[in-house]
Amino acid sequence: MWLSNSLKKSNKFLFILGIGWFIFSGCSNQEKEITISAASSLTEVVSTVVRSYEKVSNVKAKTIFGGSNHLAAQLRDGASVDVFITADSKLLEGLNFRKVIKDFTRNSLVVVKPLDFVDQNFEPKDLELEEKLIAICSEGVPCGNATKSRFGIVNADTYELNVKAVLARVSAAEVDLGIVYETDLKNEPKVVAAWPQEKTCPCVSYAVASKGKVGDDFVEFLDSKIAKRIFHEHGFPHE
Amino acid sequence: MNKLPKTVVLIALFAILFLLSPLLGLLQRMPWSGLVDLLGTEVVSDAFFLSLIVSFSATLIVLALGTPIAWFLAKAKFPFIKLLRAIVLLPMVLPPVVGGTALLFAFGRQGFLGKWLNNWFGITLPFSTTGSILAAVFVSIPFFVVAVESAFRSINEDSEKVAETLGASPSKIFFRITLPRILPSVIAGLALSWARALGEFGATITFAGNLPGETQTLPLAVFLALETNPEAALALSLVMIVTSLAILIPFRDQWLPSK
Repeated sequence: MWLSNSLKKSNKFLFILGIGWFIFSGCSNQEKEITISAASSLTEVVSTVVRSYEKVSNVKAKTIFGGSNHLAAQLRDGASVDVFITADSKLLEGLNFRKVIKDFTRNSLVVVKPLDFVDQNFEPKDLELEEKLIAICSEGVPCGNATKSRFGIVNADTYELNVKAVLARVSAAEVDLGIVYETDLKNEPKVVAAWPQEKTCPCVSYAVASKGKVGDDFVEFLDSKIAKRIFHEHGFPHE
Repeated sequence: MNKLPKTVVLIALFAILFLLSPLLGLLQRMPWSGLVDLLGTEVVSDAFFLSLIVSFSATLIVLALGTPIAWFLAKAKFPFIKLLRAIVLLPMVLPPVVGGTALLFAFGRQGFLGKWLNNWFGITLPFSTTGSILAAVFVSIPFFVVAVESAFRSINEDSEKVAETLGASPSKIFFRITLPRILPSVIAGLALSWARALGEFGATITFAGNLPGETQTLPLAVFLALETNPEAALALSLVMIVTSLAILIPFRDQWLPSK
């Protein structure tokens, strides 16, 4: 009671502001910050890795997920990140990262159908049929380039800008078939493989690029036992 | 005309400069030397003609559907009219991507209306030019309704009443007396909604998808090119700017006659 009596409204406001400042400045003095951008196909696995990295390292991480081309464009336009994990190493050209690990992990493609159509049978030649509604990634983005080199010409009805958009179309059963990453099958229960398929390439190969001590430290963590286990759990090969 | 206060002129010039600078930025980056080759590609011409078809069809539908809506909202009197007016404006406020998702929930293959269209008539609206037009109508209709509704409300009805006592039918009164008087507002509304339809991106890519020649309008082609071929994106933007200016300059004089 004495506090609220003795402080006028404006003073109270300043008092709270002061406490807030005290807390926040306390935090930023102790913790380092790291910004990581990663291909959207890595959203789940990288988020999990980052969470366990924060626990062991006292570094506060900010993650940006998006299509690799989109992220690379952001970097060319001056966005600053410490680590960039891209689904296409060609996108690193012209970006000044000091350390680059090529072929860090891989992701193969799989033709999927909506869980709603689990009883419907499809076959590989359906990809060439006009009657089937098919969503694939657009050529030019990593999953689209991989789709083209693995499947050739597909009679698609929509070319999406990233794999998550294809996944959304299939999981909502707006299309009959879609071509997504193998790992998406694990993360999205509303889609299933359209027919039994083997993990083969041509596929997508991810590259990890970093700069500065903060970035390099995180990349080192990516080779730790914990990180490897997380990658495996999410279906990503990691030696 | 009176002399304008200096401060107003200054602020206006600043504001115009602000609006102009992004445009200058585009022009300054434009790959002028390779422009002819870029514009000659099939992707650009497909997107250009598709955009014209989609935006003009959408505008015609907006005229046909928007006029009755505007008339109804201006004249009808019942308790929930204010709510109804707000609902008609919602597509203006909704982020277009949300609008597109909502369209999918209604007219998509699994949507509550789309399911029925699909089962009974075999019609699938997404992934078709019709779907693109539908998305464009949805986002652009409020611009037309706002312009025309206020015109309907502001005219006095004396002439209509006289015509009625002289025995003219309601439809004759509407087409011969009311419509000519609100024509400037109708044209203004059409120009606004056409411009909105031409620039439409979010609802289209969400609802109609992205297929060259079918649903890939200029804004979609620009967005895709921005990530894969920035020079083509600039060329496509130039096409959009030139097209809109070509249509909007004469239109604007129609509804705001310059002296």
